Amino acid sequence: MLPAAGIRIKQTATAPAKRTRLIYRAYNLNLETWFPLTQLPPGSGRADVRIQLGDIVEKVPLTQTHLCVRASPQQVILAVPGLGRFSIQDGSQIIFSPDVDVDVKLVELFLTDYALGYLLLQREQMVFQASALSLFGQGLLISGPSNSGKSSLALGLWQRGHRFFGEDLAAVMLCAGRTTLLPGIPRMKIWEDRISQLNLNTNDYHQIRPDQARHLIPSGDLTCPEQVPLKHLIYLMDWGGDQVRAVPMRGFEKIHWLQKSCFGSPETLAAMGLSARHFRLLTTIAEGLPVTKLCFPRGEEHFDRIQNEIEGICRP
Amino acid sequence: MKNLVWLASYPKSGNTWFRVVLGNLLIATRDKPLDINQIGVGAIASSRPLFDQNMGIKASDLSLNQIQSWRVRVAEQIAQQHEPELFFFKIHDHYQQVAPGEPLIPLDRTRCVIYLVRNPLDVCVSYAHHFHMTFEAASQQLCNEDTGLCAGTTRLYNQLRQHLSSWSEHVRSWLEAPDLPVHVLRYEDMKRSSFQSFSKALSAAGVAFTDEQLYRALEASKLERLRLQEREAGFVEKVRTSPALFFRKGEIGEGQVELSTEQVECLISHHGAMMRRLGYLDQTGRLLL
Repeated sequence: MLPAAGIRIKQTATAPAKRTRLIYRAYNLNLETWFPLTQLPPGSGRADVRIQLGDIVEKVPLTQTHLCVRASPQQVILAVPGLGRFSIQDGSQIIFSPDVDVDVKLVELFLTDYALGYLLLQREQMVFQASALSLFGQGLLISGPSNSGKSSLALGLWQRGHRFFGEDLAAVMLCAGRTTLLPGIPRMKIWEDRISQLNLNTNDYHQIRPDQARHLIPSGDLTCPEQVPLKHLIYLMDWGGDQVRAVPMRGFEKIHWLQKSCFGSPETLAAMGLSARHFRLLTTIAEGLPVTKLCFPRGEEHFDRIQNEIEGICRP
Repeated sequence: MKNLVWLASYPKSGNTWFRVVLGNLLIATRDKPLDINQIGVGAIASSRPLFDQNMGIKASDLSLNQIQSWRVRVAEQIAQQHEPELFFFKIHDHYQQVAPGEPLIPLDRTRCVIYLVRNPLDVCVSYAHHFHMTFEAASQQLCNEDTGLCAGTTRLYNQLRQHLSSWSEHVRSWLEAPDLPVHVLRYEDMKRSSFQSFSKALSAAGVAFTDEQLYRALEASKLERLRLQEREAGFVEKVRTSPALFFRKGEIGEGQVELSTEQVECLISHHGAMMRRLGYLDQTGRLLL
């Protein structure tokens, strides 16, 4: 294990000079780290997950499921180009092995958006690749393919006063027949185009990478919201028509769109030994969760109409 | 195994039409012609969802240079997934090295490149309609070596950034690429001698077909039929801001009619040498075809 003094990571102004135990809270877990996670609410008490620097050892042979991901039931290794490798182990530990001179903010981003996702899967949680909000006290997941507007719509709904629960990763707990949305990371990653459309000033927000104008927008005061019952999943899909159309899904269609919304590909889930359990959970969730396919015309100019439609779907 | 076939072209040179014919040949049935919104043959190499799915990390979380250099690995992975079947990649990028010694496409996985080329005067008119810009702006883009698609840094699009370069530099980059088996297919030949030109290109790619199957695929892919489908159900590959249909006219010689004399002269002065090489100009500078 590398000592903290040997970390060759760009330290931010707020980074501690020596190793300090820090506790943060996300997805109902206490995360213990050696460096500050600036986008997470603080936690307290016993650590559920330890995040450490160190050398990564492959405990058992891993299956390559993507160019950057290898997995087994005990361990997932995520290799991020230009940053380093994360080893996610046994649902309780994340080890990061950095490349030279990496940006600690980027480490945080991959830690929270990817490594934690695999860790939650190891803990047999349902994890969705979706924006999560609470509208009128009811949990909502907004899912869809890349570039469908998940983050932009979540930002717009948050600006309308709805509670933001997280972006990219949304964890759902199934307990005694109830499906609950857990509070995630209270920040959004938004492209400059969209920030400008909402009359926000990009200079107020941290730019994630120097060559791409995408910024981190914190969604409030870092107080951790309470979990809420999950009541809707909306799958976004642009189409050639002029209308916004909400199409309720039924039966196997629901499972299909829920599955498309999951974090972790079928290949990775299989390598983690989770396929069967994951499918069982999915079908159980599908039984009680309304799933709506929301078809809308392409273009940001329609976002207001789409947000109205989403509020209409979620209004009790 | 070499199972990748690259359908390379400057935009608006017949690439989509070629893929529709392929779809009608390989997927559609006699009773059910291909749905243009589900062409189902291969993918565009710059597809952002394809990149994300294969990387396990989203392009939006990587730098532009990382995206560019990893695209070749994604292509290799897809080749491996589809072995022993052929996989068709549509590609609009200028052929270049993405890093020292690292070509844009994996050579050891490439069976052949079908390079689709069209008279730049006609490309200019079609490009202007497609991207909803003036003929003047389109002709400037065709003459500019910095021209690219989805090239902004203030957002990512459904496709990743692509460097096109000018029309003639694009053609040169593919035709003169070392170690690349390139079959040149002119749009004008696809239109006028459809059966022969498609037949040669498909054979070069290693596609097995009968004459009857190809005749049927060509019939099902006639522009009028595609236009009808687009009018009824839209077309996902159409640029949102453009009022024009994607399958608009597809005529040969439209550039000579629509463009101003200055625009024609400008395009010829930039691209004359390559136009001569491809049979679009004779030695005296007279337009052919």
